[in-house]
Amino acid sequence: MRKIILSGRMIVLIFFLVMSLVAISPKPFAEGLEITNIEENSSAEFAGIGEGEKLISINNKQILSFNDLNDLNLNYGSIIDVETSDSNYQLIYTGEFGFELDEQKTSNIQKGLDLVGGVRVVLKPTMDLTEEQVIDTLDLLEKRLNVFGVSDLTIRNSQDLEGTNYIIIEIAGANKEDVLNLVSTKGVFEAKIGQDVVFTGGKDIKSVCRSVECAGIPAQNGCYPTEEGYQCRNFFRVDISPESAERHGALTDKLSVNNGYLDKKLDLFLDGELISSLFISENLKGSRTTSFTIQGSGDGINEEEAISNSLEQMKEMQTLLISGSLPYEVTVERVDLISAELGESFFSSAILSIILAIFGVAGAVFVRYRSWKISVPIMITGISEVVIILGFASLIRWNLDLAAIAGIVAAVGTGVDDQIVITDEVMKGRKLDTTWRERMAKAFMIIFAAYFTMIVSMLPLWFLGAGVLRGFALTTIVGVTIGVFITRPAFAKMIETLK
Amino acid sequence: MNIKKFYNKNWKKLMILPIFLFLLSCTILYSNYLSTGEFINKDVSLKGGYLITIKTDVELSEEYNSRELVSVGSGKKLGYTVEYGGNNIDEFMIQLSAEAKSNEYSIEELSPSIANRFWDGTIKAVSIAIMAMSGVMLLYFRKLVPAVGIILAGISNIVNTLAVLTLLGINLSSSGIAAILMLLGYSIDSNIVLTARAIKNKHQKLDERIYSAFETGMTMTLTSIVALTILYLTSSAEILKIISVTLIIGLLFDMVNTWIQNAGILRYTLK
Repeated sequence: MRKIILSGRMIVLIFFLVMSLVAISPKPFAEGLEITNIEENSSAEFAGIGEGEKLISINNKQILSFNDLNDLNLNYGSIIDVETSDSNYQLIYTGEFGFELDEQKTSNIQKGLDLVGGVRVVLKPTMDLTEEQVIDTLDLLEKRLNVFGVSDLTIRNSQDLEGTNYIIIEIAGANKEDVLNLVSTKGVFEAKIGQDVVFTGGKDIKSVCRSVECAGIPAQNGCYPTEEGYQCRNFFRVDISPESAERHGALTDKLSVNNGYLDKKLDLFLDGELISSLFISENLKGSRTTSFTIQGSGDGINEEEAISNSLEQMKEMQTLLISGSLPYEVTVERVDLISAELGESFFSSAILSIILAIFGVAGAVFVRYRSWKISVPIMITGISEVVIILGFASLIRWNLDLAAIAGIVAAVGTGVDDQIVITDEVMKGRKLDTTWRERMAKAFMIIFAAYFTMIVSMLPLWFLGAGVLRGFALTTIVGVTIGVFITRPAFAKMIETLK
Repeated sequence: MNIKKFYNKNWKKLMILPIFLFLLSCTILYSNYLSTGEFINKDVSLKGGYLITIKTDVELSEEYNSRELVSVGSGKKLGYTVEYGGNNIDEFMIQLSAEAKSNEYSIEELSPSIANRFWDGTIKAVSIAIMAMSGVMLLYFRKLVPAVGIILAGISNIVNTLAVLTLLGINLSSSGIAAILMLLGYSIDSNIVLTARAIKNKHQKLDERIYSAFETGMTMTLTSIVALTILYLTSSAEILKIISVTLIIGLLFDMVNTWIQNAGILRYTLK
């Protein structure tokens, strides 16, 4: 036993196993929700809540999951008590908390969308873009989608074999309509007086207010019944650049006063469509004001729904104003909505299946060789490969999806094939009285031929389509590489010494 | 030892089996082409449409193109995956969720143009994979016939497996393509063992060499089949089920195509 553990090959294997465990850093007993991101100028920021604190209760109700949050029934504008692992806070509920939450991680393994639930959108630019243009588009989309929280968002560019660019966006735990609205709206925002542009979205906007004092639903007469139900108004303040303020001064100077207001209104357009017209009060004539209040509204069948739709609409407007318009138009090619609850059972099932399959292999190998001295090393090697692949994935922050899990199966499967080749060469070699080196040379000749063919068959898959099966190709390539260079040499050592 | 004797006596006659299977598979695929216009039935991930996963414990009627999802261990039904190729998804979902009495579902949507592109990409990827593999084999064995034999075995495996999938009414999906490429990898594994032993171990007789490779290769294939059967039985994830069932079918054919077809080719040329 000692001889095995002290051999160079085993030390390499043990080193990689330990490194992988550190990379994965499993915390099996973690539960509850953690605060991951505080919105700027929100009442959470003013209250002093910090990132990384664990949420314990809201209004003295224990919060362990997102479902607990939905059961709270908080009133818009009410003051709520928030207890975290660090302290107690009071803040104003504005339809949202002003912080983002994430489930506490039980390990560093990042699970793909099909395991945690969310939305995946595949976009295609309407024309051929250069690399730089693609990066601009990705940046802008990221800015817009950051509304949903940075940690759960991946945006990447992908090319298929014909060289067509696709943009793939994956957001965990988001709503399909929200995402679609944000990514497919071109988002050209213009504030005009008559035919002249005062300011546009993006670079003319210095900041957008998101806190209670200068954004939200007006406290008085904010909501009112309509024929179909309810409507709620919303407002938020924007600060514009000095150049835009200059333009405003020059343009309003020419206007005449009529009943306390100027005779032309400030018209707001989104993608060429008039969204609202604001009266300009006479004291703003010729002023180089940098602050504007933008208004909007939302409808619903009852007051609650109208409030939430109105806030939703406000948030979308704020995002479009800050991010500016998409430089290049995109079409939505594909939308996947993946429900989380199915994902959870898929994941436990996949992990269990792989472990059971490794036991099955050990059993089948025992039937053939009638010796635990081969079955046990095969099990150790198989499980080590799974651990090292997961460790590598955690290290490079690769999202493990179901395709990747299939890749792990493929890698471990080829691993077993190779181990059988090694075992047979060793057994035969003993009969034929060849040296250890000769036997290994023969076994590894076969293993390397199989290895290179596996790699060349996986590379095309890497480039295939919009990269849906990339996870599969990458995990297989990584897995067989780990196998050939780390675990298989150690396996050979184990069975040679255990004879 | 009986297998060994039987095989040594009848290996030429046995060659008829893989040839027959190959021709039969081609006939099946061609008749599918005549009746449907396509050699292989593709699912929505390759031709466009919707794939719905719905959580329910209600029995769905036959009219839906659906597959059941079952939980590990308990064997409890989790729900269904349903394919929809039509163009009124909203109405379809209202109907489906009313019948399944469930609002918990996920929808994958795929536009036909991206699906076609994906399919063209797939054909290319598989062709490139086969060409690259042939290149590696040629470099490795430095002889034409063994390399061609290995690739032929790989292609026969794919054709046979696709024919069985067509007969079973399983539509080819993007995960099925992953499985086909994995199958190519596995079949190359066992064929390399055969060819390497057959042409590189000079101090044994040819039939001894083939038999020793047979022992190793069959162990490899059978352990893989055991592992994949466990994977098939215990997983509820569609992708793992498709991969395992495709590979099991493929590996069964691989036994014939490696140990009868390719071993036969080697015997003809190495004698």
